Formats: sequence, C-alpha cells, structure tokens
Amino acid sequence: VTDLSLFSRDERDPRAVILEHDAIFVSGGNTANLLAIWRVHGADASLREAWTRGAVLMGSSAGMICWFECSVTDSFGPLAPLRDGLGLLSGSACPHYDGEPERRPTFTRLVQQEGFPPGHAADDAAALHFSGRELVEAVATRPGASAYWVGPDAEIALPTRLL
Amino acid sequence: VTGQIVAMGGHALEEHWSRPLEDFALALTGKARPRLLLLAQATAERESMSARSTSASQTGRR
Repeated sequence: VTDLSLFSRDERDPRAVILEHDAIFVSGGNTANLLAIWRVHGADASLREAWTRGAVLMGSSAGMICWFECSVTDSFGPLAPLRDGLGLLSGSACPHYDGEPERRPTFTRLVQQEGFPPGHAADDAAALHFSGRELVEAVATRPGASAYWVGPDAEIALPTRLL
Repeated sequence: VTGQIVAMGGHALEEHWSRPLEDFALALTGKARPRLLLLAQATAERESMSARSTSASQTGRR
C-alpha cells in the first residue's frame, strides 16, 4: 500500500505514482478541498488517465462523490450542491443517504424541485459499482443498506446484493 | 474506458462492515496482490495512512 501526499510534496511525480497502481482508494472528508488540491497538482487528470487505462477507483463519502459531475456536500458547512466534480461519471451523487438525517431530503429536493441533475445515492455500507460509465450493480455489507436512483419524479431503490 | 469505480456511501475503517467493501473493490482488479494507492487529501492527509498500510499489508495487499 502506498500513500501520496500532495500537501507535502516529495520528489515523486504524482502522475507516475497514480499510474503505477491497480487500485486507488480516496478517503472521506472535504470534497471541495480534495478537488482543489488535486487540480493544483494535476492529480485530476492523472486519475482520469488511470481510469481510462483500467484502474479501479474507489472511495467513501467524499471519495464516493468526487467521481461524479455534481454532488451534495457539506464542504462549505451546510449541505449544498457541488457542481464541479471530476465528471468521470455523469449526473449527481449523494453519500450517507441513511447515515445523516438531512442528506436524503436535501438530495431529493435538489433533484426534484431545483433542477439538480438526477443521480445516485448510497446508504452507509452500500456501494455502486460502475464499469466505465455503466452501473453494474449495487452491493452492501449491512443488511438493509441500499443504493438508489433519484430522478425528477421518483426515488428508486436499486437491487442491492449483500456481500 | 476500461476502468471501474466503486462509489461507497460511507464507511469507516473501524466498522466491521467496511472491510468487505474494500475487498470487493480490490477483487475487481483481477490481481491477487493489487497495488493500492491511498489518497487522503479530503482530510488534509490527516487520516492515518500508516495504520491503513499496516492493516492492509497484514492481509497481503500492497
């Protein structure tokens, strides 16, 4: 396992480090800050390149939503839309759908009343697996945890396979 | 595009249900010992990478 610091750079080339790995895990935290520092150091382009070359990108919370075009984030305090994600996956995304009480009503309101792009949501312990840009399946490691498609007119619980 | 993305709604390393999700994602690489890179910029790199690395290395991840 390797980690890559962009706050305290060393002699390593971030692009080279990113491209030499089979899988990349992105931790949770502040999505806006995450995207900003990636862009300063060119990691956004390198992650896209790794993805096109076949790497498995994964992450939780901020590490879930950073791959999408848009998301719901608390990066600036209150839950709010974020519209400048990496855009590897189309539409929007919302983590902690059952884990934080305001996530679900905020995401559904944005999509169904305020013109936010439709998208996916996932409960804690649930995940969405995409191959390329296509959703393969939803999986979960906790009974009852699920993933969802939230469109302009409805929220649809996706079949979720328990691992 | 041939890459894959596993977007997790939320989990913590200490939670018992977190590990199977990570193992599921790593298995998608098709490699017995996938090379794993951790990016913790969302926490200003305060997450314990050394703890994760130690945990992972004990199970054969690299």
